[in-house]
Amino acid sequence: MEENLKQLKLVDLHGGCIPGEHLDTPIDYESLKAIGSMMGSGGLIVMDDTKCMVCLAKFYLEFTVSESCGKCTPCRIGTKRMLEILERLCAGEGSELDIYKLEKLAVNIQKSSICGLGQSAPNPVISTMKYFREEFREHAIQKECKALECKAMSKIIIDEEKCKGCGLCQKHCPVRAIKGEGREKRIIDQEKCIKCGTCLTSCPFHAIGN
Amino acid sequence: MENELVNLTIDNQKITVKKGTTILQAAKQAGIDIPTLCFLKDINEVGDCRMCIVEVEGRKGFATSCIQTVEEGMVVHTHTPNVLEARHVILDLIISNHAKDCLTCTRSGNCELQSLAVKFNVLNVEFPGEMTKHKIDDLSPSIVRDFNKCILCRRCVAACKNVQKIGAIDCINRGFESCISTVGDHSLNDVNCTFCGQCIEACPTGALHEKETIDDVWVKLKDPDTYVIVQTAPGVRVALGEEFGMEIGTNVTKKMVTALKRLGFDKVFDTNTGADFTIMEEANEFVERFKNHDHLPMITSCSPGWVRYIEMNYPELLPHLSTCKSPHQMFGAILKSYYAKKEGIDPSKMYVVSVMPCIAKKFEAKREEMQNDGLYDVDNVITTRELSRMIKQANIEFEKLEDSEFDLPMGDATGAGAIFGTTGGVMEAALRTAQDTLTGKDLEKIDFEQVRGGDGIKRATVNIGGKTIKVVAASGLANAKEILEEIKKGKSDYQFVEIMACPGGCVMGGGQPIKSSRIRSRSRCKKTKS
Repeated sequence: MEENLKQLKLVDLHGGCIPGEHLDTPIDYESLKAIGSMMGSGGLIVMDDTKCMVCLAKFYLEFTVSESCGKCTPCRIGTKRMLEILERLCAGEGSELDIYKLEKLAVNIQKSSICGLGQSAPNPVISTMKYFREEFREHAIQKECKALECKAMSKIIIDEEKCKGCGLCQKHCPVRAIKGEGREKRIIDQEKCIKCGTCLTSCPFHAIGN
Repeated sequence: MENELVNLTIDNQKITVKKGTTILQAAKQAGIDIPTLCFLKDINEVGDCRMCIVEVEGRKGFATSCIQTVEEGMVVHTHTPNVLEARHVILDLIISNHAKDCLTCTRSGNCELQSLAVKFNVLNVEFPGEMTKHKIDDLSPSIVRDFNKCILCRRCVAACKNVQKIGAIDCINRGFESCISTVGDHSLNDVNCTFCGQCIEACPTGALHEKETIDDVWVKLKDPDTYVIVQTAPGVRVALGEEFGMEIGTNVTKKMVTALKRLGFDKVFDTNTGADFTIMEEANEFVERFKNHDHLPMITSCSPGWVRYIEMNYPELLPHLSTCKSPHQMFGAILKSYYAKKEGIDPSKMYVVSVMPCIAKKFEAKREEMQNDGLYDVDNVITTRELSRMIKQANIEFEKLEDSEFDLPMGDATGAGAIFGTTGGVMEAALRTAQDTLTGKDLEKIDFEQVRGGDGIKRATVNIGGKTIKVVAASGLANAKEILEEIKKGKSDYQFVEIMACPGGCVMGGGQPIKSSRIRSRSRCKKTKS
């Protein structure tokens, strides 16, 4: 588990996401604030590398967008624009410019919103961008989500070397996207594939990956 | 305590201001301008647009200068690169959710958002995205609401709720879906809106505007078989000049008459003539009712926004209302009967246009009872703003026009009607006539006692023919409400009440030129009286 530990997260919807290297940080107000997170209600979520940080930031933004009261401009329109950018990144339609825009919006919304909700709304984005910036770049430039969470971008492929032609993946695929008969090596039809990941877990030879 | 002073530094300038002053006011005193958008002095001070943010040393986020009061030793920076960037982002976000059809917008050139965009050199929208979509509400005869242009500054809400105490509109939904709407999201036509138009005067963009009807006027002007008569209210002549860059309150009566004649109107009349009739009628009605103690106090009925207000909110007090039509309606009726007969014009070929400082009059003219033999007294009501657009459309250089005089339908107007435009005017004119009718003598000057700041409510006691008459004039529906409550509770000892729907009277009507929040003031009222 420890080598996969990608992120430590204090469960507060406005809190920050921090990477595994800060595992030894004491859980108190000052220490967490110093590394860009916050105490919140004191809860903690631990995630491994199957969790996409861009998706996580998007999830938090969805919350603030729906909770915004709509009174002040930065929170009402700004958080919505941030969410739209994150949605673009997750759909593989983002660009490097989007990362810059996201950062600019985040900093300014934080400083100019009228209440605590708007002021802390960008926190999850700011902290994920601080510690997991490479992941944002992968989404924006290489159009790649290594955690396989952004379905629009992930491509599941079967390693020809490792495949033994057992057909278990084919049997479990809910949309019949895997071709091949008998002992033939199996191939995934990318058009049909819904990136559910069922085949990944069903392969006894770890031949399927992205 | 109130005179306690506070020392602070704004942009390295040390100043001393009274305790309770906002940073925005303090900066103004120091000669420093901070941009604002949702701020409307004394009306809307909520700090929701965030354009006026400033940096205060020792504070984490930005401070909202329009609502944040000064503190001893405060160090404020109004134009740091960080503040400028944040303001630019905020403005960009507002524009990103604003219909950008400026070329075809009625407020183009007079839009506060547009002037900020110019000031901030917004050349493209940096953060484009989904835009909220709203249906345009144009069902009422007076107001069009296009919330695709709304920036949610809530100035209209404040004007309706706080100034007029109506509350026909407010913010509904939340977050990105927030919008200004009515109860049940109905059209303004179907709710308790009085069509006073103060929301239009408050709107910084083109989200609220009058229902424009100048195209119909142009059609009639082109038609050789139609006899097109125009009448103009007293409030128009002191405001029209503003649309052509003249000083607030400049009287442009004679240039306006020339312009109207150039536009092709067959006759240009003064609504003051109509006001004379109203005064005669109203004074006689008052004398009768005073003698018979019939439903006193008698309340004036010249302001159609006010009439709609009492109809909707205090129907039980309707018998107190004078039975007179408003001056322009009365004049329209006379033009289509007496004048048409006298001049040998077929009334059905006659088209009467009223130029009014009011948008409620658009609604009034279309009321069922405002017609005779199937003909409306007044066919079309246009606002001061619409007239200025017609003059601009016709490419008339207004400032350079020579003077002309009104046409006289039946001799001269007395001039008594001229004071109709300001609060207290209708009553004063009627009382003078009442005095004359009863005693044959002139009335001494009425000394109004200001009840509170401005001229919201003013009272006076006059002596007519040995009888003491207590009168009160109120402008603004919030003040009207106070007086109606007094009458309702039987606490009122007045005999005559004048009410105008708009605060300050007709000169501050909903059809008048819209001034930016930065120079908006009551100076037009003061100029009209002098």
